[in-house]
Amino acid sequence: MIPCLKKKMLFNPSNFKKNYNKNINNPGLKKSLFRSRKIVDSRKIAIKSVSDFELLRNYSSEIKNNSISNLYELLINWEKNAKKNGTIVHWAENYEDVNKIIYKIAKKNKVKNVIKSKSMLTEESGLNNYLKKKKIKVTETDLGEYIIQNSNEPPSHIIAPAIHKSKEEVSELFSRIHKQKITNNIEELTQQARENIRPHFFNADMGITGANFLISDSGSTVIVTNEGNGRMTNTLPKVHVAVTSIEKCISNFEELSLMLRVLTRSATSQNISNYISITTGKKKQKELDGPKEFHVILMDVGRTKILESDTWEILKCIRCGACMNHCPVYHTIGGHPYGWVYPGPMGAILNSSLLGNKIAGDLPYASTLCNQCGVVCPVKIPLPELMVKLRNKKFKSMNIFKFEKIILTFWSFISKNPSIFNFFVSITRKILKLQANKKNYTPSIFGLKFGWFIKRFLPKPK
Amino acid sequence: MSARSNILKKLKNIKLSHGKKDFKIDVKKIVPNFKNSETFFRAKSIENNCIVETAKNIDEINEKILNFIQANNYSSDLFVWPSIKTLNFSPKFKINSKKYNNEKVGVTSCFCGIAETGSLMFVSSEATPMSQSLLPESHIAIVRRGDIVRTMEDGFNKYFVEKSIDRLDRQICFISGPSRTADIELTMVIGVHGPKRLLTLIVDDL
Repeated sequence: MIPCLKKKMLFNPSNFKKNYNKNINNPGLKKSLFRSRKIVDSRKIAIKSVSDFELLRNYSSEIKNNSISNLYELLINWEKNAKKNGTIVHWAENYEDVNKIIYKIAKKNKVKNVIKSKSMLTEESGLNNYLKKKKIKVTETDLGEYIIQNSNEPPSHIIAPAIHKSKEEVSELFSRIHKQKITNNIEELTQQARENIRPHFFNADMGITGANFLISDSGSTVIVTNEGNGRMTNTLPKVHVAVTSIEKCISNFEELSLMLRVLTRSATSQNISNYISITTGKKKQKELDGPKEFHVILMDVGRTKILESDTWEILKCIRCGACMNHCPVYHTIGGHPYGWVYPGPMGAILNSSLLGNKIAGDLPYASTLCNQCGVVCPVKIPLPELMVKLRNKKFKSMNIFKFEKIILTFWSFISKNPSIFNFFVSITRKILKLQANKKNYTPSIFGLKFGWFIKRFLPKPK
Repeated sequence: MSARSNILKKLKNIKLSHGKKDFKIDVKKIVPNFKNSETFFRAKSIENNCIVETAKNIDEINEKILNFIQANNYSSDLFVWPSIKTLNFSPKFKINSKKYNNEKVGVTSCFCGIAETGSLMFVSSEATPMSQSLLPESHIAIVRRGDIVRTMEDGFNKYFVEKSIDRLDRQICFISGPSRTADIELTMVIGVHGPKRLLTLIVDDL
């Protein structure tokens, strides 16, 4: 059912605790993650280029509320218009279907080489591995995706997939795969990637992209990129397949213009991304470029289920990455421990909503509930609230004899009874006082360093 | 049952009303209140790492293009949009408007300029393909002064004067500066897969 969960241990949310512990003690990773804090500062500047960013957030949140409430009408209308313009529309209920549909298109068109621009949904479906087994070569063309594809790793950020890698690591990788000299100059590395990926664009017979938005009124798909690989992928190969999920549909171009303002500022701190392509249908007669066939795959895979649940708001997400850029937990552990396609606060919620409690039930705990994510979310998803809801759900489904359940039940009992609560507080104060050192700190309890005490002290109670 | 009918059936059965019904967008409250669109367009284009120049007539356009290719040590091969190949380009240039042949410079006009973000709007057609603004190392885009509008909404409105919304051209593309990335250590680098340089020529008329 969940193709990309099978193999690697690293790529599995049920190992969340093990994996974050490994990452916390990795100094190289810490350095890379620290760098990502500069997005926090640049975003602050970027949002000033509109007169009222809060109002813009309200608008985009409302657009998403409305479109998610009316998906049925929007999608039917979208499909009608897309078909009018020669788009071939496919629907898929599960990951196997997505992969099979793509393979069928590839087979029909005798495709040997596929180029991909960023697509998180095919990451979900494990498409690259699937096509590899069918002897079809897939090349990721987004620089970050290219780096991690060649180092056999999953992405660790939805906007900057190779954010965990230092330039030295990239340089080592490139010298190996490009057979070129080692350089730590980032411009030279980018240039190397340009030169080495370029032939793939011209050789490919099929291009696969995602879609940031679908526009119901015109039957269009929209992709937003900076590198230009998205445009290459939807212009050069003879077949173009866009893989998207049903909740991406909005009504019209007025809404699109507004959503773009909020997306690019939140994602990469730009007033606008370099390339916005709005694609409607296949190449027209006599046109000199463009694909002869244009397919769009509309994926459900769990979306309708989330829509009915009390975490439906996560479907408003426009994948900007602002929540992870502002998350203290993400900054400490990086993206990989989340164990599946989406990291950070939105990932904790989406992974766990899509994969279920058994596999991804630990992820909603990856938050201090500080609400930094909720404050920056461009579509006003109440991320901490949703995480609490998911924790609640997990707690309720827990076996009654589980240690966590016993402790929490006990805790909820004493915190509801002030006299018992006070009794325990007074005992705790006495123990902490007794165990305090000369500097007025309590570093351990009876010599034991557990939980809180592993990394921190408690002050001596007065 | 097909996947399509299953999904649509589920969606039809889920009754949601999360949005406000009387919701209206007032873009004027969002977009900064600038007076002169051209000045703002120019400033934003430069912020997007474009080179911005002006030209009065075709002679000046020729001169600016020549200066540009000399400054970058390019040959005189130009990959030009079919729609503008009939302009009086200087005989010094070798003009190709068919299949891309590794020219270093692509020359296009554009549908309009968007002042708010310094973007150029392109619409694909037989005479205005997408390759010229994508494949060459440098892209020269000619924009008529009168075609600079305030916002993306205005750009769409201008487009929909002639087009019916359910019959769009294959691609509408907004380009805002040369291609760039920050995928290695979040360090911004100009010139990845798309053009490394974008020269915007604002002209009185074409």
